[in-house]
Parts: sequence; C-alpha cells; structure tokens
Amino acid sequence: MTVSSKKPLCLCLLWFLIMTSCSTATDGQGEGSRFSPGLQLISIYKNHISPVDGDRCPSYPTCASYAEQAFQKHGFIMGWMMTVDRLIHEGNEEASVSPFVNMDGDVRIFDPVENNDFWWDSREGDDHD
Amino acid sequence: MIFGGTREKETIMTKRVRFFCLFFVISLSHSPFVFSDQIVIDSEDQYRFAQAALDKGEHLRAIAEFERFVHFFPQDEKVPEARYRIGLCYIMAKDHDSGRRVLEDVYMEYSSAPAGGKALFLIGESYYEEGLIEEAERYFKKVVEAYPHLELKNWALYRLGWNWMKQDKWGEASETFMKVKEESPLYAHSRDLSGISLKGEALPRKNPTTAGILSGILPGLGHVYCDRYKDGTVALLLNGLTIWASLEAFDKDLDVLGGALMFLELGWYTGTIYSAVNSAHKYNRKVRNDFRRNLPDRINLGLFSAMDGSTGVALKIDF
Repeated sequence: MTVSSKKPLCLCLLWFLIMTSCSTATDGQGEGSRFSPGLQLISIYKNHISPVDGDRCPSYPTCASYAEQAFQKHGFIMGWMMTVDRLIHEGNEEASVSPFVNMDGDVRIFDPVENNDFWWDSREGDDHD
Repeated sequence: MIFGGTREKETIMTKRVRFFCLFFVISLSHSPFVFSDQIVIDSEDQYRFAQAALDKGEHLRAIAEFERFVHFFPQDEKVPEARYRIGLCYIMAKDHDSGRRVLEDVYMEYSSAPAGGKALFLIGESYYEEGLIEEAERYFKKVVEAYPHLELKNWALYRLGWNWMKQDKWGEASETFMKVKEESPLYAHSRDLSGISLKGEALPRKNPTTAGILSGILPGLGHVYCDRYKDGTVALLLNGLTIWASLEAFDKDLDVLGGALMFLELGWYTGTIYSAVNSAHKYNRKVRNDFRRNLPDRINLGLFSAMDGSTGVALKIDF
C-alpha cells in the first residue's frame, strides 16, 4: 500500500473523529439533539444485542448505560475513552476501590460516570470523596 | 277539705319540680360530656413538646411544633433558640438548603446571641456534611473570627482541621488541631488528631502521570503499577490483539479493514491510558478515605440538639 493511498483513509478517519467529538458534548444534562454516532451505537447494542445477551454486568449502572451517560456528558472522544476504561476495569479489582450497591437484591459495584471523572477538576494530588 | 287538699298537692308538686330542677343542674355541672377540661399550654410546655419530637428523631413534626412555639409566643426569650432548632431539624432531615436558609436568617437577626453563633457554625457543618468543603471552610473561619470567646471557636477550629484533612493538607490540619484551647472538651482529642494527621503525608500514593506514561509505553503497565494486574492483562491483550489484527489486514492489502481496526485501536489505546490514570486516582482516594474513616470524629449533628440554649454552648461527648 502506497503512502498516497493511505492519505485519504487517514483524513476520513480524522474527519470522522473531529466531527463526532464536536457533535455530542453537552453540559451534562443529556440534551444533545444532533447526530451522535456513539449514542447510536449504544442504542443498537441496548435494543438489539443486550436483550439476547442478558444482563451480566457486575457494575451499576450497566456498561451500556454508563457509556450512554459518558457520551452525553463528555462527548465522543472522552466518552469513548471512559467507556474503554469501564470495560477494562469492570472486573473484581474495581471492587477494592469502589462501593457496592444493592439493586433489587442484586449486589453490584457502584461505578457511575462521576466515579471516574471526579479528579478532572481537582488540583494535583487531591483525590477526594 | 277539697280546697285544703288541692293546695297541699300543689305544694308537693312545686317541691318535686324544684327538686328535679336542682338535680338536673347538679347533674349537668358534673357531666364530663357537656363541659370538657380546658388546659393552658405555656411557652415552656410548647417548647418542651417540640424538643421531645426532636429528641425522638421526628424532625418534620419538631419543625411544626417549634414553628407553633414561635407563632404563639413571639416575645419569648427562647424564640432565637427555637428558630435555630428549626434549621437544625431541616438539616437532620437532610433538607440542607431549607436548613441553611433558616439558619442564615437566625444569624442575621441574632448575630450577637449564642443562637446566632451556633447558626453560623451549623451552616458550615451542613456544607461539611454535604462534602462542600470550601463553603464549609468559609463559615468555620467566620465563626473563629466572630466568636473568639465562645466554645464555638474550638468547634470551628476542630472542623477546620478535618476540612484540611479532607483536602489532604495534613500539615495544615495538624497545626489547626493544635489551636484548640486547653479548656475545650475537644482539646485532648484534637491533640491526638494533630499527631495522627501528620501520618497522612506518609500514606502510599500512586502517581497518575507515571501510570499514564507507563500505559503509553506498554498498554496495561500503568494498571500493574496501580496493583491492578488483571486489568493490566486485559488491557495488554485488548490492545495487542487489535494491533496484530490491524497489521495483518494491512499486510493482506485490506486497507479499509486495517484502517477501521487502527481507528478502533486508537480508542483502545487512549482509553487504556485514561484507565491507568483513573486507576491511580482511585487508588489514592481509597487509601486516603480509609485513613480518614478510621479516625474518630467527635462532632455529629446529634450533639447540636443536645446543646443547652440558655448557656449558649454546652458540649456533651460520649467517649
């Protein structure tokens, strides 16, 4: 593959990345009304895959709901990064640093978006409740 | 005979009527169903009743009873205290905004009375309970400045020490605890906390920047640095497999697939770095919260309802 043939592909990807990151960030109220590929993907997963796959997420909110909230709150790029973070850390090791919550008799790890962006506004070294 | 007999009958009838009338009046006057008992509630009774509701933990009922007290006895000397307790009840019922509004009014109207000082402290305590430590700090400092001769000042200093600890400013916390005066019931405990708080500086800490850089060099390494070995392995496999698949696709001239996989990998890669940094922050938060949680706190909202209003401040502590 030549350099010239890779160029358009890279440009397309860059364009997609920039456009999607600009289109979805809201003020945290979840009122983004423009086209949002991240939310569309999650919607497809929630409506068509999750009902068949079943509810196996050990965390609350579930990973799909979490991703939805992350995209709504922080836009595509940060939402995507936070979703990847959630998928990586949803195992037992998260239980050592996050509290549990009882959801209709089902004990889950309480890990909302706020549990993973709490340090954004704090000064270096400040990791508060 | 006939006339005499009639007069005698009339006399007997009159006597009977009078007797029945008398009996009727006496019966009525003793009947509980006609005249019920009347009670007079004085200000002391009403205040005690409201306080009993507060002691039982029935905060909303206590608010209503204290408001009744203020309404019916507006000239009573306990009105500032009653209004302060209305604010306290709101806060104990977790309605912090309403509580603070009431207490602000109490402070504005009675700033020279003990109730005003307590109201100011309680506003700070309300913010502290909600985790709004900067607002809390502002009010505690105000208490220290405005009421230097009351025990409240020691309470405020004690809380300021806790505030510093919540911000991981262990040195400042230690110094502030030392400022609690010897005559205060909090003195001994503050001295202990002054020493213990310095241990906070030696608590283990993971540097978020180091975690991020390590994960940038090798995905998953930052997680290992934060003692999250399984997460590190997952991150390494996720990134490794996607990069390998992408390279294979480019190798076989499947540029679109390769590009899509690279795009996906870009997300995994940046997400992994974010995850490592996040893990370091969570680790630090956990260690510090555990440390603070194990330190006993001598001030709680229950103490505020036990304060003696007439003397301004009285501290009851169960050691």
